Amino acid sequence: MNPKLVTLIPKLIRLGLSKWQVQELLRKYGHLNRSCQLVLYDDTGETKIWVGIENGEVKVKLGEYPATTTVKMHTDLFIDIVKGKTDFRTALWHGAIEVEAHDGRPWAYHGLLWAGFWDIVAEILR
Amino acid sequence: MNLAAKLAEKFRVGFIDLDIYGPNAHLLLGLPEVPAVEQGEMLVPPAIDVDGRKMQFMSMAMFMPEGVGLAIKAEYVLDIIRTIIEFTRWDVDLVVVDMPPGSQDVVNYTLSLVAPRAEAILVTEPHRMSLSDCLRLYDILKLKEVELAAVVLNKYNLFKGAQEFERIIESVMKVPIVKVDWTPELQEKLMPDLYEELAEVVL
Repeated sequence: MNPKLVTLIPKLIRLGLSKWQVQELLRKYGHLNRSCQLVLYDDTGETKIWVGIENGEVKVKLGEYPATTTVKMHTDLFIDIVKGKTDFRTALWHGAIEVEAHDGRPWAYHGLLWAGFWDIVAEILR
Repeated sequence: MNLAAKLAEKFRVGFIDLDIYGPNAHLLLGLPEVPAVEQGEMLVPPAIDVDGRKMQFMSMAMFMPEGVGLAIKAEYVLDIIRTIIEFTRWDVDLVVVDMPPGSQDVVNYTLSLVAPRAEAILVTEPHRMSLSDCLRLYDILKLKEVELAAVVLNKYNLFKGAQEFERIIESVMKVPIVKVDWTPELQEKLMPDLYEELAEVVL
C-alpha cells in the first residue's frame, strides 16, 4: 500500500462513527445498498478499499468485496479529493476517474451520485 | 426554453438541457437550490421556478463545476444522456428536450431513446448555410421514425433569403412553420409569449 494512504484509511473507516454528518450521506445515498470498490493505483501497485452503505450505515473496509460500482483512480488524485484540493466531479469529467457499473445502470448514474458522496466525505474529513 | 416555459403555464413540464459539453440554459432558467437526488433507484430532477412557472429541470450544469470542461470519451457522453433520459423519474405531463446543434452522435442516440413517444421540433435560422443541416436532420428524423411537429425559424427578420428558405422547408417538410423575429431582449431574459403560436401548434 502507498504510505500516503496509511493515515487516511483509518479516518475513512471511522466515517461511520461521526453520526450527525453521516446522516447527510445516508439521506442522499442510502436508499440502495450502494457500494463502491475503490481501486487506487500508483507505482507501488493497487490498493482496494470497499465503501458502501449497508442497512443504513456507512461502512469502509480494506480489500475487495462485491460492489455495485468500481471506481478507479490514481492514489494521489484520491488523496487530493478527500483533502478537498480538487473534487470528484472535476476529475470525473476530465477523464481521470474510471467508473464501471455492475448493476446494469449507466456508469454516469453512479458517477454523479458518488461525486456527491465524496463531496460530503471530503467535508467531513476536512 | 421559451417553449417549455410557455407550456408550463398549463402543464406540468420537464426541461432537459441536453448540451452535455456546453450547457447554458441555466443562465436564463437559474439553477435549482437542491441537486438531483436518488429516490427508488431513479434520479429525481429538481424543480425550478421560472417567473411563477414550475418546471422540473435537468442539465449537466448541475453536475459540472463552473469552468470545468468535459474531456471524456464520446461513448461516456451517450451514457450521461441515457442516465438523464432513462434513469430519471419525471413527474410531469411532458418533457421538452433541448438538443445541441450539430452534435450528430448525441442527436442520433437521443432520438433512438425517445423515438416511440416523442415528436420533434426543428429549430433553425432561415439562411442558406443552415438549409442542408435542416434537410439532413429531417432525414434522420424519418430514419428514426420521429414525427416532425413543426419548424421554428428563429431570427426571421434578420435574413434576406428568409422567405425563400421558408418556401423550401414548407414544400419539403409539410408541417407548420413558426417564425420568430429576433429582439435584443431574447439575450437577456425568457420571452415565452413569443412562442405562444408554437405551443399551440405542438399541442
